Amino acid sequence: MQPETKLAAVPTGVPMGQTWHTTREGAMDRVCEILGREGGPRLAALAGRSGSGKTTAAAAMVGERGPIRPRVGETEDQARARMDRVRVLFPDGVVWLRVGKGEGAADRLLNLMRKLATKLHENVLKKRVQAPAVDEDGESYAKNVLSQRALRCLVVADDVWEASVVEKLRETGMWVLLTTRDVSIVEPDETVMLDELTEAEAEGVLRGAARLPAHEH
Amino acid sequence: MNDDAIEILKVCGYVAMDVAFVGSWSSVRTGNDGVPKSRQAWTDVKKQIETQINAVRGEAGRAGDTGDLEINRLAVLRAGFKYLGAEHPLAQELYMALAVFPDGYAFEGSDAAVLLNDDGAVADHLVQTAMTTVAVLERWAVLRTSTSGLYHMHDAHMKFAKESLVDRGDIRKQAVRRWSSHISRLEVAIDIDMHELLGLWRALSRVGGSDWEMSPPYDDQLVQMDSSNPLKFYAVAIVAELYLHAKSSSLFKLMERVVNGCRGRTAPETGVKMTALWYRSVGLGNMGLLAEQAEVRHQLAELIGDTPQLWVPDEGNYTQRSTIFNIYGFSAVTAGRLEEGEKWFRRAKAAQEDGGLETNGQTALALHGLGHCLREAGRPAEAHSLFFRALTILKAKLGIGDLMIAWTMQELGKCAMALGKPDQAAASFKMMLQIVEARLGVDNVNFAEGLVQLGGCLFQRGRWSEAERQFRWALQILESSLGRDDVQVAGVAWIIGACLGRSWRHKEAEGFFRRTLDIREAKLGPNDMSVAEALEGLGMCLQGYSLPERRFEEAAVYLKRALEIREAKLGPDDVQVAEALIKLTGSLRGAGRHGEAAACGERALKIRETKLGEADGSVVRTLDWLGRCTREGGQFREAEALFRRALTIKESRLGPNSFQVRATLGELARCLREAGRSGEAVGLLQRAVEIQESMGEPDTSPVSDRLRELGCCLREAGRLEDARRALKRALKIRKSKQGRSQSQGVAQLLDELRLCDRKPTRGSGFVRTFNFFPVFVRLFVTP
Repeated sequence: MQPETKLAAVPTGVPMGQTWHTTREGAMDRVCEILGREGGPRLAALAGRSGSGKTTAAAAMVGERGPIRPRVGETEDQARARMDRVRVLFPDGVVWLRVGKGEGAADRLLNLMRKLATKLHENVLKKRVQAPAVDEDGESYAKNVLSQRALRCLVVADDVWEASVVEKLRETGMWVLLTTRDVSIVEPDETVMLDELTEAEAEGVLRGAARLPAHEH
Repeated sequence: MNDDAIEILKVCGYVAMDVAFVGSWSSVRTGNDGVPKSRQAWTDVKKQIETQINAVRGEAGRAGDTGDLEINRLAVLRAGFKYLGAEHPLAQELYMALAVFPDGYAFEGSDAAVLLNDDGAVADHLVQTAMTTVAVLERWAVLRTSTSGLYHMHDAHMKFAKESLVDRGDIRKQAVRRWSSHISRLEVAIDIDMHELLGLWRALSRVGGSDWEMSPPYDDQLVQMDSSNPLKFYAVAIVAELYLHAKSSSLFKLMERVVNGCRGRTAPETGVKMTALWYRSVGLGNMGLLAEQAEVRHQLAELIGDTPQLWVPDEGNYTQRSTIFNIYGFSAVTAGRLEEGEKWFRRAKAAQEDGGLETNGQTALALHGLGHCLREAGRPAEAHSLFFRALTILKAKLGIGDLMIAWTMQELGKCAMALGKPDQAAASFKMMLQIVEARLGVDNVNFAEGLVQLGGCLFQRGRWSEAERQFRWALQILESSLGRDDVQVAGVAWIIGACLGRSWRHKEAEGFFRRTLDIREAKLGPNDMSVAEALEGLGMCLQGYSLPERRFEEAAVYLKRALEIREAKLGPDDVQVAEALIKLTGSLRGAGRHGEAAACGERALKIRETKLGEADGSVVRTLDWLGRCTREGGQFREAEALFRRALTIKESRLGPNSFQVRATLGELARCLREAGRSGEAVGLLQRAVEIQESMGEPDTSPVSDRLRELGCCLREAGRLEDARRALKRALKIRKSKQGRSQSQGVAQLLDELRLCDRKPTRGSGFVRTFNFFPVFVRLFVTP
């Protein structure tokens, strides 16, 4: 009997899915490939225009999995493993951080990183270690507690607009999955473009929203 | 799917949100009967979108500056909006009503119920209806919900909702009225973070709501709230903070009403009263009503003094608890109990940390209060870091133009000054002044205070005239606000006098020092320490070089009185008494009373050695000073011993080639020469010149002076050729300079050179050279 795979808990604040949401399997594969690279913490960015489904895709990767629907020739366990393949990379925990425009400004960035440190403390470390002190930098706190315990944690930073936020996230020592409309704030080999649905995916969304029967390929 | 449906996907740019939005329209969405709509339905939808695309393109200002995808999205939103109403009778209304929220605002189902119903109704069935409506918008990809149960409107929809709301007066007025009426309820307001509440009001005013200040909704509710309610103190704080971030003029009146309403002395009432008094004091301070503020602060100090056991609420969340801790902290500080204040602020900070609220407004206040305590306790570096953290929180919550930011910048400036960083401090004070000017105007006493602090930075950097300008502007404001005879006016007059003294405008300075003295004597009595400070300023000023006649005797009278005040207040052995003694020494020395001067100097030296240690910098300066007094009194042996002691300490502390070592070498050489031991002085002066040259100043006037002294000593020691060489080099340097003093120096050097051709006589050389020795008496700088 194989030991049960350790899976990160669903982070608080992650957006809920809709029945018509489509799983961007290609994007998920690419994110796994980037975050699974060897040599320490990595960053992957889901990039695309407003409404292209970046947040939905990120939420699907770390949120509650929906009904398990095995593909042809796939067992239920295999389907489950496919759906959990991002969460399984981070057995020690995942944090969902809503960022938003303007949070990278010098006067807001420290607060954002404090928010991350607090979430890390409450959601991942479960208060096993001391909370960040008021006059402690969020990124330093994360870096110290994670390196001391050799933890492998992911932060999903939703709606990032500024390179300064990206830089701060890199300094935490956490693996980072972010969503952004601006590809210039990350490296090309870290980017997973989500601008358009494929025609089949778009048709699936339209059918789902219009409650039409699923397309049969 | 048919071709028109596929065409719709293209128009939507295969963007998920837009595709889902169109798919949700009732004209194409499969009904509850499970029967899909006809192919014609997709054709009609396509036509409707195309009609809207053409309309959008045709609108002035849109064509050409908007991309196709944005035009298409707007067309899709416009075309689909009517179907929202068809889907659910309230969906369209809620969609637009959500525009009353700030961008990115996370709301609950009960908030949606408020927007859809009058009287802020939150009955279960109304919330249930609202949740059903919310679910429609969620399915239409307009909203997202998270695992924490909060909803966000997508920014593209929020933008469209705000534009639509502006066009629909009937819905806008209703939504604004309902939401504004809801957050106007005090019980609702105290459940919201104070900065978030401010953001809600600001967002409302952007979509046509009235500013809360126009008809303050909380005042009467607050006054009428039962004072024994354990959360009333928090309600007072929330309302007061709102006023503070808007305008303070009504705050102190409201707080007065609250204080007057506290008739009993129950524990919660004391908390309410303390909170109201504190905020009343802040409001008065912001308005520059300092006398009234002092009265309120006195009441606050009395109240905390009369309350042996401060009440801590059993109920309430982390923020509410930390609020009362902060109030107690500020009250304790007002009563001068800094250590107690620090303890309360630390409790407030800990409560916020326990609640995971490190970026909350109360955290900023706790950090601010704690920073103040630490700065006052002489720990400016720690205080600076706390103020910086508070500033970060406040900027993020309030934007950069809030008064609280100004006060934090001011505290940062004070810390920087205490850390010896006047430039950094000046930058902080300038930012503080910008905010205060914009919010309170340039006639406000807080603006004057900022000017004085900025002037202090410039003063410390030696930029006297720039500093003077700031001080004069502050003086003008304070005179018109507080009256010409206020003690604060006296303080600024004193510092203007100091600027003028440093700028060698002693006559003008005298007037300011006399004015300071008159005000302080009248207001604070003749024996106040600040009177001593005024007397010292005046006494030092009367010895100024720029005066036609230096009045040492008169100066000695003032300085002696200052000394007596300090001795009476601090005891005979305080270091401040030593400083007063040194100042008096200068005037006595100038008046030719060398014996008295030396006695004062010896006493000062003893105090400093005892209190500060024998190697302290001030002890060394006293040795030099006392050496000069003793030498001028003709006691060369004693003077030599003092200079040699000073030299030994300086060499060991600063190294053999420091500028200060050079100064003492010059003093010692002069002492030996006056004692008739010119030959022994030669080596010392040669070393002094070498030090000066090693500092990269080979051809400066001070080097010329030192060479002239050397030349004189060499001549007096009979080494005429060496003397000529030194004097010629001094002459060459002098000739290369310009100015009246330089031409006088040239003439005197030529005289010295002529003397080399005569038989040397010690007396003639001494008399001629005496006036050339550098003058060491410096105004306001004690040795």
